[in-house]
Amino acid sequence: MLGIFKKKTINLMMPIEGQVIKIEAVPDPAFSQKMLGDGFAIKPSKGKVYSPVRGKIVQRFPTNHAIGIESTEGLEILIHFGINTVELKGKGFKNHVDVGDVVEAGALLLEVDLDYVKNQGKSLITPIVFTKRNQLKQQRINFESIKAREKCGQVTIK
Amino acid sequence: MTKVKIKSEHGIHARPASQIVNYAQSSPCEIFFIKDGSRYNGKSIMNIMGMGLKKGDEIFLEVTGENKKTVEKELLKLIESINE
Repeated sequence: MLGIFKKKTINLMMPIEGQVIKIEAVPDPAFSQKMLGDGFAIKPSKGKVYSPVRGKIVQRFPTNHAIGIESTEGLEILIHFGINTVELKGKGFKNHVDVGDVVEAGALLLEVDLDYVKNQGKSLITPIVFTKRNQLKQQRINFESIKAREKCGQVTIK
Repeated sequence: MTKVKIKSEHGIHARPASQIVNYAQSSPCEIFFIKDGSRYNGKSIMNIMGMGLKKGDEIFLEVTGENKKTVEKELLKLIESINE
């Protein structure tokens, strides 16, 4: 009863091993000024990208550097690996999922050759953005998180 | 419906998509893009990026509501001004 008025809370798993930073620190104004939405970012130390939630793949850019997931609760998440990595035209990115796939939290989505991306002069900083307008109620991110596939935060949506 | 051809080198990736969506969200009109027969909501980042638009792709604009001609023109101008 009254289920539609109930807030929904979603646990997030760390999608990539690395250091968690604020979205405001991302070296691209489209992200740091939250033009795509609020969220956080990771400075990756490994190139394996896992799904932070159980959900469905709703978007995969042709160059494989950006993946969109909708969690079973309806939270929309964009993982954008690196900055200006669209310019690599898919090189260094190995995709493991397709649009429409249902994935478990922790499922491998993407593998990235970090050395290649770095050698091309691109930042590895990866924004994790909640892209659906007016959806986010609260986000609690644990900035101490490091290991992939461990709980790194909680998001409440309307 | 108006046809648009994508001319920007890297297509409509995150940054250009955010420009389109921010404009679309500021408009009271309903805005849809049509690519290969599928409709995509102009007010959704995921929908816009989900089109996976590359240089040379063609899409149709579908704007409905008040001042739709002006909104359509502005959107066209915006998409044509993307130069990355």
